[in-house]
Amino acid sequence: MAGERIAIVDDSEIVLAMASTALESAGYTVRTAARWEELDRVIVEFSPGLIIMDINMPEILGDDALAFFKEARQLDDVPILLFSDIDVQELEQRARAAGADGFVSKSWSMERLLEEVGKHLTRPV
Amino acid sequence: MSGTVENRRHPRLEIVLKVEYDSPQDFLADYTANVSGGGLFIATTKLFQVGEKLSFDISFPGILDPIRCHGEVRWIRGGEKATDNEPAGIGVAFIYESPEQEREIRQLIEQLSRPAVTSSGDSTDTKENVFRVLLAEDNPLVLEMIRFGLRRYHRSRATGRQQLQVLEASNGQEAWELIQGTSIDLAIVDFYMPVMDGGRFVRKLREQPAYRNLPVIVVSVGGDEARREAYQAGADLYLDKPILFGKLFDSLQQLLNRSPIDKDD
Repeated sequence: MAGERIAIVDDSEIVLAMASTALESAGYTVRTAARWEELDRVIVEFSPGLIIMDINMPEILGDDALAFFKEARQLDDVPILLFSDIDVQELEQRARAAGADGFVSKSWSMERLLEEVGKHLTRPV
Repeated sequence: MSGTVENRRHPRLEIVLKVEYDSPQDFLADYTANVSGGGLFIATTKLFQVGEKLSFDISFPGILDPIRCHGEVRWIRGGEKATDNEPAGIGVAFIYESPEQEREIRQLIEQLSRPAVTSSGDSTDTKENVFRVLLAEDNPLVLEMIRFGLRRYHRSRATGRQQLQVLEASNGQEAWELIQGTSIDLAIVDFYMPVMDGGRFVRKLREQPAYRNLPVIVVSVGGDEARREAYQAGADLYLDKPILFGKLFDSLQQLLNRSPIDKDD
Protein backbone atom coordinates (compact mmCIF):
# COMPACT_ATOMS: atom_id res chain seq x y z
CA MET A 1 0.00 0.00 0.00
CA ALA A 2 1.39 3.36 -1.03
CA GLY A 3 0.18 4.86 2.26
CA GLU A 4 2.63 2.70 4.19
CA ARG A 5 5.69 3.53 2.12
CA ILE A 6 8.14 6.07 3.48
CA ALA A 7 11.12 7.67 1.75
CA ILE A 8 13.83 9.30 3.86
CA VAL A 9 16.43 11.64 2.38
CA ASP A 10 19.45 12.54 4.51
CA ASP A 11 23.13 12.83 3.65
CA SER A 12 24.11 11.01 6.85
CA GLU A 13 24.19 7.22 6.43
CA ILE A 14 23.95 6.78 10.22
CA VAL A 15 20.79 8.86 10.45
CA LEU A 16 19.30 6.97 7.49
CA ALA A 17 20.09 3.62 9.14
CA MET A 18 18.64 4.61 12.51
CA ALA A 19 15.46 6.18 11.16
CA SER A 20 14.78 3.40 8.67
CA THR A 21 15.32 0.71 11.34
CA ALA A 22 12.82 2.41 13.63
CA LEU A 23 10.22 2.82 10.89
CA GLU A 24 10.69 -0.70 9.53
CA SER A 25 10.37 -2.18 13.00
CA ALA A 26 7.00 -0.42 13.19
CA GLY A 27 5.96 -2.13 9.95
CA TYR A 28 6.54 0.58 7.38
CA THR A 29 8.32 -0.11 4.09
CA VAL A 30 11.22 2.32 3.81
CA ARG A 31 13.54 3.51 1.03
CA THR A 32 16.46 5.81 1.76
CA ALA A 33 18.29 8.40 -0.32
CA ALA A 34 21.50 10.23 0.49
CA ARG A 35 21.30 12.73 -2.40
CA TRP A 36 18.54 14.61 -4.21
CA GLU A 37 19.11 12.54 -7.36
CA GLU A 38 18.48 9.36 -5.35
CA LEU A 39 15.27 10.78 -3.91
CA ASP A 40 14.16 11.69 -7.43
CA ARG A 41 14.60 8.03 -8.45
CA VAL A 42 12.93 6.71 -5.28
CA ILE A 43 9.88 8.90 -5.95
CA VAL A 44 9.46 7.36 -9.41
CA GLU A 45 10.23 3.74 -8.52
CA PHE A 46 8.75 3.51 -5.02
CA SER A 47 5.84 6.02 -4.96
CA PRO A 48 6.23 6.88 -1.28
CA GLY A 49 3.19 7.82 0.76
CA LEU A 50 5.30 10.11 2.95
CA ILE A 51 8.74 11.70 2.68
CA ILE A 52 11.03 12.64 5.55
CA MET A 53 13.41 15.31 4.25
CA ASP A 54 16.62 16.48 5.90
CA ILE A 55 17.14 20.25 5.82
CA ASN A 56 20.91 20.41 5.72
CA MET A 57 21.49 18.61 2.43
CA PRO A 58 24.37 19.35 0.04
CA GLU A 59 23.76 21.64 -2.97
CA ILE A 60 20.19 22.73 -2.13
CA LEU A 61 18.62 23.00 1.35
CA GLY A 62 15.61 20.89 2.23
CA ASP A 63 13.42 23.98 2.71
CA ASP A 64 13.89 24.95 -0.95
CA ALA A 65 13.90 21.40 -2.31
CA LEU A 66 10.54 20.73 -0.67
CA ALA A 67 8.71 23.22 -2.89
CA PHE A 68 10.47 21.82 -5.94
CA PHE A 69 9.45 18.23 -5.26
CA LYS A 70 5.90 19.19 -4.29
CA GLU A 71 5.32 21.18 -7.46
CA ALA A 72 7.69 19.86 -10.12
CA ARG A 73 7.18 16.20 -9.16
CA GLN A 74 3.49 16.70 -8.43
CA LEU A 75 3.61 15.48 -4.84
CA ASP A 76 0.81 17.67 -3.51
CA ASP A 77 -0.89 14.66 -1.97
CA VAL A 78 2.27 13.25 -0.42
CA PRO A 79 3.05 14.64 3.05
CA ILE A 80 6.62 15.88 3.41
CA LEU A 81 8.10 16.29 6.89
CA LEU A 82 11.22 18.41 7.36
CA PHE A 83 13.90 16.62 9.37
CA SER A 84 16.67 18.30 11.33
CA ASP A 85 18.59 18.56 14.59
CA ILE A 86 18.16 22.35 14.82
CA ASP A 87 16.15 23.90 17.65
CA VAL A 88 12.59 22.56 17.52
CA GLN A 89 11.04 26.04 17.54
CA GLU A 90 13.18 27.09 14.57
CA LEU A 91 12.41 23.81 12.82
CA GLU A 92 8.69 24.37 13.26
CA GLN A 93 9.03 27.89 11.86
CA ARG A 94 11.06 26.74 8.86
CA ALA A 95 8.67 23.87 8.17
CA ARG A 96 5.74 26.30 8.13
CA ALA A 97 7.60 28.78 5.90
CA ALA A 98 8.59 26.03 3.46
CA GLY A 99 5.04 24.70 3.17
CA ALA A 100 5.91 21.35 4.80
CA ASP A 101 3.18 19.12 6.14
CA GLY A 102 5.05 18.75 9.41
CA PHE A 103 8.46 18.24 10.91
CA VAL A 104 10.50 15.66 12.80
CA SER A 105 13.34 16.59 15.13
CA LYS A 106 16.38 14.35 15.20
CA SER A 107 16.48 14.94 18.94
CA TRP A 108 13.16 13.17 19.42
CA SER A 109 12.80 9.59 20.61
CA MET A 110 11.83 6.87 18.15
CA GLU A 111 8.38 6.76 19.76
CA ARG A 112 7.91 10.47 19.06
CA LEU A 113 9.10 9.96 15.46
CA LEU A 114 6.57 7.16 14.94
CA GLU A 115 3.84 9.24 16.55
CA GLU A 116 4.49 12.13 14.14
CA VAL A 117 4.62 9.84 11.11
CA GLY A 118 1.44 8.12 12.33
CA LYS A 119 -0.45 11.42 12.10
CA HIS A 120 0.00 11.35 8.34
CA LEU A 121 -0.08 7.63 7.52
CA THR A 122 -2.22 4.68 8.43
CA ARG A 123 -0.06 2.69 10.79
CA PRO A 124 0.57 -0.80 9.41
CA VAL A 125 -0.91 -3.73 11.33
CA MET B 1 3.99 31.11 -30.82
CA SER B 2 0.68 30.64 -32.58
CA GLY B 3 1.36 27.24 -34.15
CA THR B 4 3.19 25.13 -36.65
CA VAL B 5 1.87 23.65 -39.90
CA GLU B 6 3.52 20.90 -41.88
CA ASN B 7 4.29 21.43 -45.56
CA ARG B 8 6.30 18.97 -47.66
CA ARG B 9 6.82 21.00 -50.85
CA HIS B 10 10.46 21.93 -50.33
CA PRO B 11 12.47 20.23 -53.13
CA ARG B 12 15.71 19.64 -51.20
CA LEU B 13 14.65 19.15 -47.64
CA GLU B 14 11.73 16.97 -46.73
CA ILE B 15 9.82 19.03 -44.20
CA VAL B 16 8.89 22.71 -44.05
CA LEU B 17 7.40 24.02 -40.82
CA LYS B 18 5.60 27.34 -40.85
CA VAL B 19 6.45 28.99 -37.55
CA GLU B 20 4.24 31.96 -36.84
CA TYR B 21 4.82 34.26 -33.86
CA ASP B 22 2.34 36.72 -32.40
CA SER B 23 5.16 39.11 -31.59
CA PRO B 24 8.94 39.43 -31.76
CA GLN B 25 8.97 38.89 -27.96
CA ASP B 26 7.49 35.44 -28.44
CA PHE B 27 10.21 34.69 -30.98
CA LEU B 28 12.91 35.89 -28.61
CA ALA B 29 11.52 33.71 -25.83
CA ASP B 30 11.93 30.72 -28.13
CA TYR B 31 15.22 31.82 -29.60
CA THR B 32 18.08 29.94 -28.13
CA ALA B 33 21.71 29.40 -28.86
CA ASN B 34 21.99 26.18 -26.93
CA VAL B 35 22.43 24.42 -30.21
CA SER B 36 25.76 25.31 -31.73
CA GLY B 37 25.84 28.27 -34.06
CA GLY B 38 22.51 29.68 -32.94
CA GLY B 39 19.16 28.04 -33.05
CA LEU B 40 15.52 28.03 -32.20
CA PHE B 41 13.04 26.07 -30.14
CA ILE B 42 10.02 25.12 -32.24
CA ALA B 43 6.92 23.92 -30.41
CA THR B 44 5.55 20.94 -32.30
CA THR B 45 4.12 17.53 -31.56
CA LYS B 46 5.32 16.10 -34.86
CA LEU B 47 7.82 13.26 -34.73
CA PHE B 48 11.39 14.17 -35.55
CA GLN B 49 14.74 12.50 -35.10
CA VAL B 50 17.94 14.10 -33.90
CA GLY B 51 20.01 14.97 -36.97
CA GLU B 52 16.98 15.34 -39.23
CA LYS B 53 17.09 18.36 -41.53
CA LEU B 54 14.14 20.64 -42.10
CA SER B 55 13.17 24.07 -43.39
CA PHE B 56 11.03 26.56 -41.55
CA ASP B 57 9.47 29.88 -42.42
CA ILE B 58 9.53 32.38 -39.53
CA SER B 59 6.95 35.15 -39.65
CA PHE B 60 5.28 37.76 -37.45
CA PRO B 61 1.90 38.65 -38.99
CA GLY B 62 1.69 42.34 -39.73
CA ILE B 63 5.31 42.90 -38.72
CA LEU B 64 7.54 40.74 -40.84
CA ASP B 65 7.07 38.69 -43.99
CA PRO B 66 8.09 35.03 -43.77
CA ILE B 67 11.81 34.30 -43.78
CA ARG B 68 12.87 30.88 -45.03
CA CYS B 69 15.43 29.22 -42.74
CA HIS B 70 17.05 25.79 -42.77
CA GLY B 71 18.15 23.78 -39.82
CA GLU B 72 18.98 20.49 -38.21
CA VAL B 73 17.21 18.93 -35.22
CA ARG B 74 19.63 18.82 -32.29
CA TRP B 75 17.36 17.82 -29.43
CA ILE B 76 13.79 16.73 -28.88
CA ARG B 77 11.38 17.28 -25.99
CA GLY B 78 8.28 15.14 -26.07
CA GLY B 79 6.25 12.58 -24.17
CA GLU B 80 6.44 12.85 -20.39
CA LYS B 81 9.15 15.52 -20.55
CA ALA B 82 6.72 18.03 -22.07
CA THR B 83 4.75 20.21 -19.64
CA ASP B 84 2.48 23.27 -19.88
CA ASN B 85 5.48 25.51 -19.24
CA GLU B 86 7.82 23.53 -21.45
CA PRO B 87 5.79 22.20 -24.35
CA ALA B 88 6.78 19.42 -26.73
CA GLY B 89 9.07 20.53 -29.49
CA ILE B 90 12.49 20.46 -31.08
CA GLY B 91 15.72 22.41 -30.69
CA VAL B 92 16.89 23.33 -34.17
CA ALA B 93 20.35 24.60 -35.12
CA PHE B 94 20.31 27.04 -38.02
CA ILE B 95 22.06 25.90 -41.20
CA TYR B 96 23.15 28.97 -43.10
CA GLU B 97 23.31 28.57 -46.88
CA SER B 98 25.65 31.52 -47.30
CA PRO B 99 27.48 34.12 -45.19
CA GLU B 100 24.90 36.67 -46.40
CA GLN B 101 22.05 34.57 -45.08
CA GLU B 102 23.81 34.10 -41.74
CA ARG B 103 24.33 37.86 -41.51
CA GLU B 104 20.68 38.50 -42.41
CA ILE B 105 19.37 36.18 -39.69
CA ARG B 106 21.81 37.42 -37.04
CA GLN B 107 20.83 41.02 -37.87
CA LEU B 108 17.17 40.11 -37.53
CA ILE B 109 17.77 38.60 -34.08
CA GLU B 110 19.84 41.62 -33.06
CA GLN B 111 17.08 44.00 -34.16
CA LEU B 112 14.44 42.01 -32.33
CA SER B 113 16.61 41.89 -29.21
CA ARG B 114 16.66 45.66 -28.87
CA PRO B 115 14.26 47.09 -26.30
CA ALA B 116 10.92 47.85 -27.91
CA VAL B 117 9.94 51.50 -28.27
CA THR B 118 6.30 52.23 -27.64
CA SER B 119 4.12 53.57 -30.41
CA SER B 120 4.08 56.96 -28.69
CA GLY B 121 7.69 57.31 -29.80
CA ASP B 122 8.72 58.40 -26.32
CA SER B 123 12.30 57.21 -26.16
CA THR B 124 12.21 57.09 -22.35
CA ASP B 125 9.30 54.67 -22.47
CA THR B 126 11.32 51.65 -23.47
CA LYS B 127 11.07 48.16 -22.11
CA GLU B 128 12.81 44.84 -22.46
CA ASN B 129 10.28 42.06 -22.24
CA VAL B 130 12.66 39.15 -21.94
CA PHE B 131 14.95 38.76 -18.94
CA ARG B 132 17.66 36.24 -19.74
CA VAL B 133 19.56 34.35 -17.09
CA LEU B 134 22.47 32.07 -17.92
CA LEU B 135 22.56 29.10 -15.56
CA ALA B 136 25.68 26.92 -15.72
CA GLU B 137 25.59 23.84 -13.46
CA ASP B 138 26.82 20.32 -14.16
CA ASN B 139 24.32 18.50 -11.94
CA PRO B 140 21.11 18.26 -14.03
CA LEU B 141 18.77 17.94 -11.03
CA VAL B 142 20.37 20.84 -9.16
CA LEU B 143 20.11 22.88 -12.36
CA GLU B 144 16.42 21.99 -12.60
CA MET B 145 15.88 22.95 -8.95
CA ILE B 146 17.58 26.34 -9.35
CA ARG B 147 15.62 26.99 -12.54
CA PHE B 148 12.43 26.12 -10.66
CA GLY B 149 13.39 28.55 -7.88
CA LEU B 150 14.17 31.29 -10.41
CA ARG B 151 10.80 30.88 -12.10
CA ARG B 152 8.95 31.00 -8.77
CA TYR B 153 10.90 34.09 -7.79
CA HIS B 154 10.21 35.69 -11.16
CA ARG B 155 6.48 34.90 -10.94
CA SER B 156 6.33 36.55 -7.52
CA ARG B 157 8.21 39.68 -8.61
CA ALA B 158 7.55 40.19 -12.32
CA THR B 159 5.22 42.86 -13.49
CA GLY B 160 3.67 43.32 -16.90
CA ARG B 161 4.65 41.01 -19.73
CA GLN B 162 8.29 40.49 -18.89
CA GLN B 163 9.29 36.91 -19.58
CA LEU B 164 12.06 34.97 -17.91
CA GLN B 165 14.29 32.95 -20.19
CA VAL B 166 16.81 30.61 -18.58
CA LEU B 167 19.69 29.54 -20.81
CA GLU B 168 21.13 26.32 -19.42
CA ALA B 169 24.61 24.87 -19.74
CA SER B 170 26.38 21.96 -18.05
CA ASN B 171 29.89 23.43 -18.19
CA GLY B 172 31.75 26.64 -18.97
CA GLN B 173 32.46 25.77 -22.58
CA GLU B 174 28.81 25.02 -23.28
CA ALA B 175 27.85 28.25 -21.50
CA TRP B 176 30.28 30.23 -23.64
CA GLU B 177 28.87 28.77 -26.85
CA LEU B 178 25.34 29.29 -25.60
CA ILE B 179 25.65 33.04 -25.12
CA GLN B 180 27.20 33.76 -28.50
CA GLY B 181 24.80 35.80 -30.59
CA THR B 182 22.42 36.60 -27.76
CA SER B 183 22.32 39.01 -24.85
CA ILE B 184 22.02 37.99 -21.21
CA ASP B 185 21.10 39.97 -18.11
CA LEU B 186 22.60 37.80 -15.38
CA ALA B 187 24.77 34.70 -14.97
CA ILE B 188 24.63 32.11 -12.19
CA VAL B 189 27.64 29.82 -12.48
CA ASP B 190 28.70 26.74 -10.54
CA PHE B 191 32.43 26.84 -9.79
CA TYR B 192 33.33 23.17 -10.19
CA MET B 193 32.27 21.93 -13.62
CA PRO B 194 33.95 19.62 -16.17
CA VAL B 195 35.50 20.78 -19.47
CA MET B 196 35.69 24.45 -18.41
CA ASP B 197 35.16 25.33 -14.75
CA GLY B 198 33.31 28.39 -13.48
CA GLY B 199 36.52 30.32 -12.75
CA ARG B 200 37.83 29.98 -16.30
CA PHE B 201 34.42 30.80 -17.71
CA VAL B 202 34.06 34.01 -15.66
CA ARG B 203 37.60 35.05 -16.61
CA LYS B 204 36.75 34.51 -20.27
CA LEU B 205 33.57 36.53 -19.84
CA ARG B 206 35.40 39.46 -18.26
CA GLU B 207 37.92 39.54 -21.11
CA GLN B 208 35.09 40.57 -23.42
CA PRO B 209 34.00 44.22 -23.17
CA ALA B 210 30.35 43.19 -23.70
CA TYR B 211 30.35 41.14 -20.49
CA ARG B 212 32.50 43.33 -18.25
CA ASN B 213 29.49 44.68 -16.36
CA LEU B 214 27.33 41.57 -16.51
CA PRO B 215 26.17 40.61 -12.99
CA VAL B 216 27.76 37.23 -12.22
CA ILE B 217 27.04 35.03 -9.20
CA VAL B 218 29.30 32.03 -8.61
CA VAL B 219 28.04 29.18 -6.40
CA SER B 220 30.07 26.28 -5.05
CA VAL B 221 30.74 23.76 -2.32
CA GLY B 222 34.41 24.72 -2.65
CA GLY B 223 34.56 27.07 0.34
CA ASP B 224 37.33 29.65 0.71
CA GLU B 225 39.46 28.44 -2.19
CA ALA B 226 36.62 28.57 -4.69
CA ARG B 227 35.50 31.92 -3.25
CA ARG B 228 38.97 33.44 -3.69
CA GLU B 229 39.33 32.12 -7.23
CA ALA B 230 35.82 33.22 -8.19
CA TYR B 231 36.48 36.79 -7.08
CA GLN B 232 39.89 36.81 -8.77
CA ALA B 233 38.20 35.71 -11.99
CA GLY B 234 35.78 38.64 -11.76
CA ALA B 235 32.62 37.31 -10.06
CA ASP B 236 30.40 39.94 -8.46
CA LEU B 237 29.32 37.57 -5.74
CA TYR B 238 30.18 34.13 -4.40
CA LEU B 239 27.61 32.04 -2.54
CA ASP B 240 28.32 28.81 -0.68
CA LYS B 241 26.37 25.66 -1.38
CA PRO B 242 23.97 24.49 -0.12
CA ILE B 243 22.28 27.42 -1.78
CA LEU B 244 19.78 29.39 0.24
CA PHE B 245 17.28 30.43 -2.42
CA GLY B 246 16.19 33.45 -0.35
CA LYS B 247 19.78 34.69 -0.17
CA LEU B 248 20.40 33.95 -3.84
CA PHE B 249 17.36 35.97 -4.89
CA ASP B 250 18.09 38.84 -2.52
CA SER B 251 21.63 38.97 -3.90
CA LEU B 252 20.33 38.78 -7.43
CA GLN B 253 18.02 41.72 -6.82
CA GLN B 254 20.84 43.73 -5.27
CA LEU B 255 23.13 43.00 -8.20
CA LEU B 256 20.48 44.06 -10.66
CA ASN B 257 19.96 47.27 -8.73
CA ARG B 258 23.74 47.60 -8.56
CA SER B 259 23.67 48.05 -4.82
CA PRO B 260 26.88 47.36 -2.95
CA ILE B 261 27.32 43.69 -2.13
CA ASP B 262 29.23 42.49 0.87
CA LYS B 263 31.76 40.19 -0.75
CA ASP B 264 32.94 38.83 2.58
CA ASP B 265 29.50 37.57 3.45
